[in-house]
Amino acid sequence: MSEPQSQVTETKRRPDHQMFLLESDGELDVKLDESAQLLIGHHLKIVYGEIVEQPVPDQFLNLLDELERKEQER
Amino acid sequence: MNGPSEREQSSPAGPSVRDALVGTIPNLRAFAISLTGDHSMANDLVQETLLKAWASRDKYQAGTNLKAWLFTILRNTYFSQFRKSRRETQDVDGAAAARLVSLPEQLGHLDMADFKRALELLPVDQRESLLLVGAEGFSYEEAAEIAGCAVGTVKSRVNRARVRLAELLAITPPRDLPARPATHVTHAQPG
Repeated sequence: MSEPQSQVTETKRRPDHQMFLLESDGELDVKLDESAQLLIGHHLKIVYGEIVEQPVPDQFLNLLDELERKEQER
Repeated sequence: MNGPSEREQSSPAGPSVRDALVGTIPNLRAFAISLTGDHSMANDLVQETLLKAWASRDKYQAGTNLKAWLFTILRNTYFSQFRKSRRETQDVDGAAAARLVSLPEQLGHLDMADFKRALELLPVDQRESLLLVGAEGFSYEEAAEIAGCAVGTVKSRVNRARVRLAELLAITPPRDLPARPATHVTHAQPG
């Protein structure tokens, strides 16, 4: 057991990538160790990035064009 | 204004507003699709967000974070308008931790389809926070402002989202925390 820090006490690292945190309010919480966090984050960015890279659907461009057109007609 | 396709215009309204909004659409759409898990709803959500943003563009303060402002409109619209129209199955944190995959994965090798399915199984608050911080790259403080909650809440949700994903993807075994009765889990036998 590591020394209590100001907010969180972390237990020793487990082989299954989870770390238990004892919060200052006595709540027991859990988080992933860094290697698992990096793995999750890496794949999240890939999955998400694929959608971001897709071309913008016409409906949104048409909408903004229409809004702009109406604005300029005023 | 901030934005990836920012162009200097002589007037603050008109084309530069349009260009700034266009620049954020890919991210708004990615967030909407990932958050809702529903392409059709996501398109409606982005549409509604753009309409609201345009209608209240005088409320946007130039020089502040345009993307954060738009994301706030989008998620507020989702939670106040769109979610009511559908019944969603909530995978309550600590409920039966059924896995998506029965074979343990080698660290570093994940199936993208499984990952997407696992993401959609997260409780929506956890998914929202994880997307804002882990996918979009907002700071915890920015994410807290967007989501309308405390910074500590965002951090907790992001932690739990990651842990839950790891369980679903068999990176870690399901949790067994005797101190917390809500997390009593049953898990599927490896097939």
